Amino acid sequence: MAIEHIFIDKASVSSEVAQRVMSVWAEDKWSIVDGEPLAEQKGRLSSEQFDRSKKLLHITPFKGKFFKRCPGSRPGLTCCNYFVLNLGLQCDMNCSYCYLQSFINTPIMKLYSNIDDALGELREMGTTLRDQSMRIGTGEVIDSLSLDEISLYSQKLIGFFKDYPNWRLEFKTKSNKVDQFLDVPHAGNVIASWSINPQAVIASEEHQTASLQERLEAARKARDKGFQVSFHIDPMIEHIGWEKNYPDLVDQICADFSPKEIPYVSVGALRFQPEQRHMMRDRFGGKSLVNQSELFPGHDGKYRYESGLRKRMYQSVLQAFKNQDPQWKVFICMENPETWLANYEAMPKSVDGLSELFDHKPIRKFNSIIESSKGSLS
Amino acid sequence: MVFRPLSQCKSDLNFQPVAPVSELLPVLCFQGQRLTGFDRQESINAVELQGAIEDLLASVYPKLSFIELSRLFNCLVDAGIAFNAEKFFGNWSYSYNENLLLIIQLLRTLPEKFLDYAARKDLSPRDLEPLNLKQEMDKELIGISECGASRSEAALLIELISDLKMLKKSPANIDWTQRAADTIDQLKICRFPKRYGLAKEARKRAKKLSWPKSVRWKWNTRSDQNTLDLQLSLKSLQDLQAFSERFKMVSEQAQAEENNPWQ
Repeated sequence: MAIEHIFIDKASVSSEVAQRVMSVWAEDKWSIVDGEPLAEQKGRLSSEQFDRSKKLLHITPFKGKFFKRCPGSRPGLTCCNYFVLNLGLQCDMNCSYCYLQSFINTPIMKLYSNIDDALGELREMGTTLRDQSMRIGTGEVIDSLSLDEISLYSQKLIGFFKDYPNWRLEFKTKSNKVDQFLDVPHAGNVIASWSINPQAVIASEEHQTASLQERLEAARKARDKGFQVSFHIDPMIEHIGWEKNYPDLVDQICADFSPKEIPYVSVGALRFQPEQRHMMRDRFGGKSLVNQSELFPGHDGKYRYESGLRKRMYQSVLQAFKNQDPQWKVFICMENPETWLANYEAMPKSVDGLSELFDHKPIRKFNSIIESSKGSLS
Repeated sequence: MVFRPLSQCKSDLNFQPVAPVSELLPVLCFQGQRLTGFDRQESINAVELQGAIEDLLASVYPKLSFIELSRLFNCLVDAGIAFNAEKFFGNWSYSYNENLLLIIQLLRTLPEKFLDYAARKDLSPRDLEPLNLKQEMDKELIGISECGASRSEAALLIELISDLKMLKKSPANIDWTQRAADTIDQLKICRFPKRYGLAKEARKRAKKLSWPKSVRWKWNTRSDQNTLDLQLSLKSLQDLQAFSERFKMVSEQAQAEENNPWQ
């Protein structure tokens, strides 16, 4: 979705990102505001408001915590040890299944101007966790790279992570915007990762995103500059021909990349919070594969395909990778232990090549830091 | 207490709650507008209330279903009475936003018969949200109001019908004389044909297996899982051993793809 207007908070005017917008964008495309734009729009967004929120950008300081654990760490799910750094909220792309539809109640996309505060938080974590093997992603509630040509945050983050060689920074994206960081010196601990799907699914469900070929091309560029690359085949969506299209997708990856170049691939099946189903119907209608799907509330309340279909879907991808090369490290994202056992006959910590990802030492240490900071506050 | 002659009180608001205000109470009014007793003529005077209209209405009508509240909101708008919508809805613990407003506007277009039913059953904005797809559903909504559906059944029926209409899979005729639960089952088969088709096949296969006579089995589609649930009683260790042997046989039978209920 093309951004129609950028609101720059008065407190952010001197930030690099705001300065860049003011120097590059036409003057009628941005304005300086004091306070929250559209503040009168409160509560859950309507479909129309949600659509509109993707076209307006608010550059503003963030006053909360940037650094958090991934939602996959909730009880009942098998967590892959992931942390998130949220540098904005909302996304300028438009996927039918997007989970932001379940909770966003701000009628405008946010890009936080105080990245130095975010880096300060990381630095503070580094005092205790520097030696831990941590994965930190920036693509939880905003695409890591789709707005990066405006923010150039990738450059700052890559520079920061040079001092933390045990940590891994992951950009997760459905865009092909990589050129802005390819020449930044890095410590080999930056993963550029792409959520991918067969082109038929991208065309039907992932609106305003880069095509599969564009994403793979961007991944090749990143790989050629020494960045680690990863893929998330997620969410797998049932459609006519999925049994062939997903293994074909695996073959496409394997044609261009070797297991040594890709630290891991994650796989996940379509899932979403029940709260968002009405908005999805309203916004994407009966033509959407997601809205056509047969989904049922799972053990965690999220809507999912029935377990047998999920197992067949995962197996189609796991087997396709295995056929290409048993060295591929593939794991299932946001699933319960039963699904792991059904697909691997083992829990992830016992699966070759995945034990490091699922080592919960950093999580435990992080939790103890949070607990002790609570204690010191009280 | 300030009194105002009833003859000077307008009845523009004309709100009729499901549970009428007791006729033992005097007619209440605010700035010459009746808040209760819109049809009453017998009194001479109404009691003129002081305060904010939003709070007065919340005191006069403390318990309203969402449908009644929407009606009251629409009555206020139609009567041209100035009020603060956020404060008004907040008094009944609803947050006023565009979503809520869309549903309230939508309710104006629905059949009165359904609205009366929905008010009695206290259907919530969430229950009614699927109607935002704005598909022609009058016939079905009247059907829901006539089939004796509980609130949760009504919510499920609204969602299933709305979804099926969106997917252009809606059955041509729904028999609204049957129980609501049966209609729900019928609609689920239309909405989830793969799951129900597979369940039918699974039952057929499970039936072919040589279960011990005293074992009861049932194929269940529960949440996102399909399970074969067994019920058996063991009176001794010998029973356990005997059942183990028989289950081993059943398991061997189920190895054949055409017998495997989970396949």
